[in-house]
Amino acid sequence: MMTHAQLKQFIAEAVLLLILGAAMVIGSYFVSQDNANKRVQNEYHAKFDIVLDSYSYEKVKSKALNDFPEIKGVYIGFNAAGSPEGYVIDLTVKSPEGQDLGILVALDYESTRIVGLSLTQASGDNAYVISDEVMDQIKDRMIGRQIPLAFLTEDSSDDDDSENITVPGLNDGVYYAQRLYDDRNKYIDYVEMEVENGVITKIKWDAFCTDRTNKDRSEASLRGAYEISGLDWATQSYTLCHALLECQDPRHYRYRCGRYM
Amino acid sequence: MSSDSRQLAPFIHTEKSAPYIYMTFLAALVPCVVYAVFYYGLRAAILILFSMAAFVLSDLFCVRITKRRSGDYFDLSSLVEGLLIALMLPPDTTLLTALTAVLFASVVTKQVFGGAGSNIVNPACAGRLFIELVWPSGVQGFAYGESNSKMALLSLIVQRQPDELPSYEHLSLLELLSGNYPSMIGTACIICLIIGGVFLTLKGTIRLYTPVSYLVTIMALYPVSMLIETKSFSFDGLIIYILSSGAVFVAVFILGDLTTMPSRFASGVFAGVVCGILTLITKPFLAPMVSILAPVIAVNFIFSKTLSRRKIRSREVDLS
Repeated sequence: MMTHAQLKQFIAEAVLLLILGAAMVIGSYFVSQDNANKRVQNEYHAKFDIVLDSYSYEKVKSKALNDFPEIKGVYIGFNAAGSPEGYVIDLTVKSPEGQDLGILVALDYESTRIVGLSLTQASGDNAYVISDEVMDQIKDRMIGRQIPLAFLTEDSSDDDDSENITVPGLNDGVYYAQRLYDDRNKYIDYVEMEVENGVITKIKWDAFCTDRTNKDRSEASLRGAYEISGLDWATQSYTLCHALLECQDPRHYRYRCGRYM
Repeated sequence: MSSDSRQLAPFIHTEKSAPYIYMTFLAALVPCVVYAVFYYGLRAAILILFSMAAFVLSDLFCVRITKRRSGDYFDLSSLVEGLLIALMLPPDTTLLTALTAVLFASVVTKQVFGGAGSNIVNPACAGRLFIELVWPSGVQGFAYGESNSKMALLSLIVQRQPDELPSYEHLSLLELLSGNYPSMIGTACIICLIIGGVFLTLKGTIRLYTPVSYLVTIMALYPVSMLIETKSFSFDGLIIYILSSGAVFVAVFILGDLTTMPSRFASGVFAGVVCGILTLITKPFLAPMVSILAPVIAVNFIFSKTLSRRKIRSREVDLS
């Protein structure tokens, strides 16, 4: 059995080790943190430079991402001045045969266009392999295009025959997309789109306010609470959505003299 | 009272009782606990407390069931073993996984052989190795850096997706010494391990020859191992392997164990050398943690004091 003196000595030594340990752990953490940050940034650069060449990257922490198990991580790329310039999404999707396909997608900061696309290192026996040639074709069709993307089977003329255009790459259903972060006015943009028989039949672009006491952006603009140059925002949004319903393909958008055609 | 000052055997040559030895081990592990809580927050603290409490309760339950006399002191070895298991777990390990390791260590490797001081293999080592082998996906939760939240508790209940550990090739010496990289919650901080090792040495509760011979063997034979395995060798690779693999933790707190490691100098050195050789031989074929822990179990079996007791020339007194 331990003596009382041994017990007292043990407590004193444990407290001493606690203080010493805390000092060493915290001190060494701050001394090594700069090296750790550089190492992490080097790892990000090695992985993401091919799709978005930014000065630094930062991982997005959002509980919303938990709903998308295929997304392994979302990162914001910053330029040298510290301004955000785009997103990198690291995801693994399943092929129709159930094989894993690792993809890196880079979007511009407005999340409107794909600016980079790459396959990540295929690992395991269940990895899906895409040849470089096919990958180059996919990149040609996607990079620089506006989101949502759709592949056309044949080019259509610029004539007003958009009713005949179908979008085979777009499956029927209701689609929804929104930005991850609010803008300076605390609004988060979202788009709802309905597709029937390969044709976009309904589309709505609006934004809700993170301050729930405020109205949605379209309603706020109609009340005069949200002002932009030119026509009110609700009218411009409606015009854009109507133009998309007319032409069906974002590639055929033309903005002339203050109106979409 | 008799005036005869002669004592009956066995003679006690030291004031270091079993509780004293285990208490010094607990104190030596305090810096590692500080590291775990500082880097991984609340979930590391809960994991540690849960493992220690579960080990104590499991041991008490076994003693009660078997009606075995537990001694006239509180068995502090349970606290030490529970703490060692927790410190060898990744930060995002569920309580269920930890409990599995604790129950295996407590019941199968400790109580079945007679409880504290009678176990053949190190219980913490065996428990950790058990879950690494039967539940490998349960010990791959390494949220770190921007993904690491010090207040997150969900990973204690729900198994996370396994994390891909970054390559350790680019770790700087500062990171390696401070443990500022994703690893087990208590094995990475070399500074804390050195503090604990020095403390145990000063208190005389560790036999240094086994840990030292183990680390020296790894350092000496690592170049040969790498030349055979990859046809190349770098001194940086050796430093990174020694400091990041958990070998230092194993050397200080597992191979320094008085119960399961040989007490004689020559046997202790030989055990350390064998353990180091086995570690390097198994390194290319097994998971990192398995290649570190499995040789320890093998050495425990080979050099077990319990087995050597049965030898005629043993110094141990056999009252039976």
